[in-house]
Amino acid sequence: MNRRKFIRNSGIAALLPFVLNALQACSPNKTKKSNRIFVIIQLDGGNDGLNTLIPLDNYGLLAAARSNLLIPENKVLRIKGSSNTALHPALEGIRDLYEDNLISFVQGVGYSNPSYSHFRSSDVWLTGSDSATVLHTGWAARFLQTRYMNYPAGFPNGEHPEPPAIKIGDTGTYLFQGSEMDMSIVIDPTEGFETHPVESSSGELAGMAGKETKSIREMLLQAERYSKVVKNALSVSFNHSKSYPEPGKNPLADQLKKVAQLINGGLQTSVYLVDLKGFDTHNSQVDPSDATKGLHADLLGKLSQAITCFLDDIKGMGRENEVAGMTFSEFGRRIMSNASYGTDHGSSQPLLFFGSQIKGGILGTNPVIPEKITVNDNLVLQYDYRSVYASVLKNWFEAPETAVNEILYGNFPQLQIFKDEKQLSIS
Amino acid sequence: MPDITSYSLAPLNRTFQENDLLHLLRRCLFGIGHQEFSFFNNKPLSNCLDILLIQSPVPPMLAQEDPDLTDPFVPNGQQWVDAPWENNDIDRKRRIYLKGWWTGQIINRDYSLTEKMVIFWHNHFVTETEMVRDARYSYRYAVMLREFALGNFKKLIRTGTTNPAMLVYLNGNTNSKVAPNENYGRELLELFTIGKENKQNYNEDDVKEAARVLTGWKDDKEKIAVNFHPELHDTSDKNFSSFFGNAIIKGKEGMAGAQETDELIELIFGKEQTAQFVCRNLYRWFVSPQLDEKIETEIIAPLGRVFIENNFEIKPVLRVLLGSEHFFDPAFRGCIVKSPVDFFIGASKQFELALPPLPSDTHLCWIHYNFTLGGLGMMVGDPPSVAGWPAFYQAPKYHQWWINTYTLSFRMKIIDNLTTTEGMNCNGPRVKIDLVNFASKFKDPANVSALVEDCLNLLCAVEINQAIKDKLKVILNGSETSARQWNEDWSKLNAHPNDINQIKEIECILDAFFKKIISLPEYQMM
Repeated sequence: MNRRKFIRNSGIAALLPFVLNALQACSPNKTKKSNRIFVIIQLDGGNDGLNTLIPLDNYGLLAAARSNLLIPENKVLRIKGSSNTALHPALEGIRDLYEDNLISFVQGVGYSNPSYSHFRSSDVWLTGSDSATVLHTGWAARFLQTRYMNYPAGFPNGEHPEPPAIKIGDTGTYLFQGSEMDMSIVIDPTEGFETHPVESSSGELAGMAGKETKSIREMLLQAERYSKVVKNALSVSFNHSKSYPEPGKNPLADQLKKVAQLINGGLQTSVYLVDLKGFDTHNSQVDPSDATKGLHADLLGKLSQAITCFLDDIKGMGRENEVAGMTFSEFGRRIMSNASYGTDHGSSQPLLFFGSQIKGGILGTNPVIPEKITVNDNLVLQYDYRSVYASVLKNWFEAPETAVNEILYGNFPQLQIFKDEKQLSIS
Repeated sequence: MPDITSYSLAPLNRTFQENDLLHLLRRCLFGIGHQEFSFFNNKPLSNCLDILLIQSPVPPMLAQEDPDLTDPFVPNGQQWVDAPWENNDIDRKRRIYLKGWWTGQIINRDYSLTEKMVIFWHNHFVTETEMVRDARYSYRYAVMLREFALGNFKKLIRTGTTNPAMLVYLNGNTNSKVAPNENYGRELLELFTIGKENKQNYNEDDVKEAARVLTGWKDDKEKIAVNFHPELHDTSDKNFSSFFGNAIIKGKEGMAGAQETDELIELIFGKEQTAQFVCRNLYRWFVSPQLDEKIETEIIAPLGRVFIENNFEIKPVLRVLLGSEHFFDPAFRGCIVKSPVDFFIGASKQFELALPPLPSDTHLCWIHYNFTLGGLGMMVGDPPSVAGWPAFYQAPKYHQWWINTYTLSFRMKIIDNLTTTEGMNCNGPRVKIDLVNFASKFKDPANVSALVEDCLNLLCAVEINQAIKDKLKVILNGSETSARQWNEDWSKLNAHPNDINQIKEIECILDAFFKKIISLPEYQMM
C-alpha cells in the first residue's frame, strides 16, 4: 500500500512532516517498500540484435554485410505501427505481445569504449560500471542495499521476511553481490529448496581460513533463515499456463515458471535473475539452407515462448500491474557476418522490455549500416545502458534521484520505458 | 596480506611436520585419507615432491558398452576413438563415456599431481565437449592435457592451437583469409597466454593480426586429422604493436604458411607476461586466490623467471612453489574453498569409497559422478565458458563462487546419499561409504577424545573450536554425562565383529558423527 494512503487513512496526517523528517534523517536514500517485481533475463553469449529487431530501411546494405545470415525480407515478422522495423520470424509470441502493447524495445544500448570480452563486458552490465572501472558489487545489489540497509544484519525481519533477490539456476551472480555478501538465494528450477542445519560458531578463526569459513557459515545461515518463507511460497499450488513446454525443453521457460510460482506463492522478493545460454553464435548462427532457422532462431523461439507463458501466468494471478522485466546480453554482434554463417562479438544491441506497465513501442532509431562495410564496423551507441537501469530504478522502483545517482555512479537520463506516472497503476 | 610471514620462494628450511604434509597433500591430491597419509608420512619433503611430480601414463579409453546402442561402426566391446562420426545421438553417448572415463581417472588417481594438473590445464586451456560435438576430437583434447600435464606449457599451447577439438571450439577451422574469425586469436592472447591483467598490453589490432596468422588450418572429420590449407591462408605480412616490439611475421606462401603459427607462439612466449600469467594462475590454484603487490614482486615474478629459464617446463615451477617457505606459511592453511571435484571426489577418496566390482557398473558410477559434479557446478569436460570456471578467475570472490544456497545444500545431500544404508544410486549400481571401516583405521578409535582429535586432524584443514569438539564427543557417547559409552560400544564391536545389530548401532552413531563434521563450513576448506 502506498505510504501516503496509509498515513491519510490512519489519521496521522498531522504528524506527516515529523515522520518524513525523521525518516530523512536516518536514511535519505531509503527506498520505500512496494509490491513491484522486476525480472531480468540475461542472454548469455552476445545476442545478434540485428537479426532480432530487424531494420528494414537499407535492406540492401544489410544484405551486403551479412547475406549468408540475412532473414529474407518477405519472412520477417511485421509489427503493427512500424513499417521500418520488424522481428525475427521466431519471435511470434513477442510480436503478439507487442501488438497488445506489452513490449517495448530500446535500440542501440551499450556503453562507450565497449569491451569485446564476454567476461569483462558481462561484468560491466552486471555491476553498472563504465568501461574503464572495475566494480565488485552488482547494480541491483546496490539498489537492494537501499531497501535492506546493512544487509545481512537485521534481515529477515517482520517488514522484510523475503530474500532481497532470487537467482534461478545453480550458480550465483555478480548482479546480486552486495558489499557485505551475496544478496540472493539461489533456487534450482527443477529441485525444491532444501537447507541443512548449521552450527553458528562460537569461536572466530583468524586469518584467511577464518574469513572464508565465516562467509560460508553466513551463507548457510541465510539459507536457513529464508527457508521457511521460500518453501511456503513454493508450496502454494497454482495452475500455470497450458502453453509451457515440457520441463527440460526450454530452460528459460522452466526458470520463469519457477519465478511465477514464487510470485504467486506470495514471496515479496522484488528482483529475479534468470538466463538463457547459447548466444555466442560465431558459427552456424543460421541454417545454411534457411536463414530463418538455426541456433539463433531456436534461442529466440525459446525466449519468445518463455516470456509469453510467464506473462500468461502473471495475468492469471492478477499481478500484471506489479510485474515487469527486461532482457540484456553482454554485447550485440558484428554487422558483417563471417564465413561460417556466424558473427563475431559486437557492441550495441536492442533490449526488450515486457509487462503491462511497459509503455510499448520502439525507443531509438534503426541502426545505421555503413555503406562500405568492413569486418571492423560496429553499431553506433544510442543509449548508455545505465539510462535503462536509471529508468527501472526511478520509474519502476520509485527510488529517489540521489539514491539512483549513487547506485549508478552518475546521473543518467531516464528513458520512457514505463507508462508515465499517471498511467502506472498504483500497487 | 596481514597474516603472511614468509614471502620467500627458498626451500622450506625447518622440519617438515605432519601438518605441513597434510597441507601439501590437500592441495596436490583430490582427497586425502589414511592410505595417502601413511604412504607419504615420514618421507622428507623433497621425496614427497619427487613422487608428486611423476606424471601418470595416459590410460586406455573405455570401450563401447551399451548393447542397446545401434552403432554401425563400433560393435559392443570395441573402441570408438578412431571410428567414424555417425550422428549426434551416437556421439552424445560417446561424449558421456568420455566424460565418465575422465572422471574415472580422477577417482582412480595415483599419488601424483597429474589429475590436479589435468584439471588445471582443462580450466586454463578450455574446450567444451558439448560444443565440440565430436567425442573423438574431445578425446584427443583430453589425451593432450594428460600428455602435457606435468610437461611443457609452450608445447601444450602449440599443440592445442591445431588440436581438432580446439579448432572447432574456437572456430579456427573456419578462420580464413576471406572471412577471418578472431575467436581463437583473441582467447589465445586473453585467456591462454598473456592475459589482460596488465596495464601495458596487446591491443585489438594484435588480436586481428594473430587471427590472420592462424588462417588456413582445418580439421578433417573423416581422417580425424588437422591439415594446413595454403589456399585459405592470409599470406600478407602481419604487423604487431609496440607491445610486441612492432614485430612483423612475414606472410608465407604455400605450406610454409603453417610456420607462421610457430612464429606467433614464439612471439607470445617471448613476453614475460605469458610466464607470469600462468604462474599467477598456478598460485591461485595451489596457494591462495588473493594476491597483492608484494606477492607479485616476491613470488610471481621470480616464479615466472623460473618458468622462462626452464623453457616453460612446469615441473621446476611446481617444485619451487610447492617446496617453498611461502607455500608452507601457516597463513594459507585451509584458506581455499574446495571445488566440487575436491569436495565430492575428495570425500569419496577420503572415506575410501569402494566402487562396484563389475567394470560396467563402475563405468556407470563414473558417469553418475560426472553428472553430479555438473550439478555442483563443475562438470569435468564441460566448463561453463572458454574462461573456465568463474571460481578460478572471477575477482574478488574467486572460490566463493562454488558456494551458494543451492550448491551448499546439494553438497550436504550428496554426503547424505553416500552414507545411507543403501548408498548413492549411480543409475543402477550403488556406492556407499563404510564409516566403521574408516573409523577403525585411526590409532585409537575406542578412545572418544583421541578419535575426535584424529578425525578432525585428517578431515579438517582448519582448527575446530572446543564447543564443536564437545558436541562431537556427545554424539559418540550418546549423552553429556556418560564418558564410557563409546569405549564400550566400540569394544563390543571388536569382540563381535559380525554382530549385525552392533554394526548397525555403531554405523548409526558414526553416521551422525561424521555428518556433523562434514556439515561444518570448515570441512569445505582445504
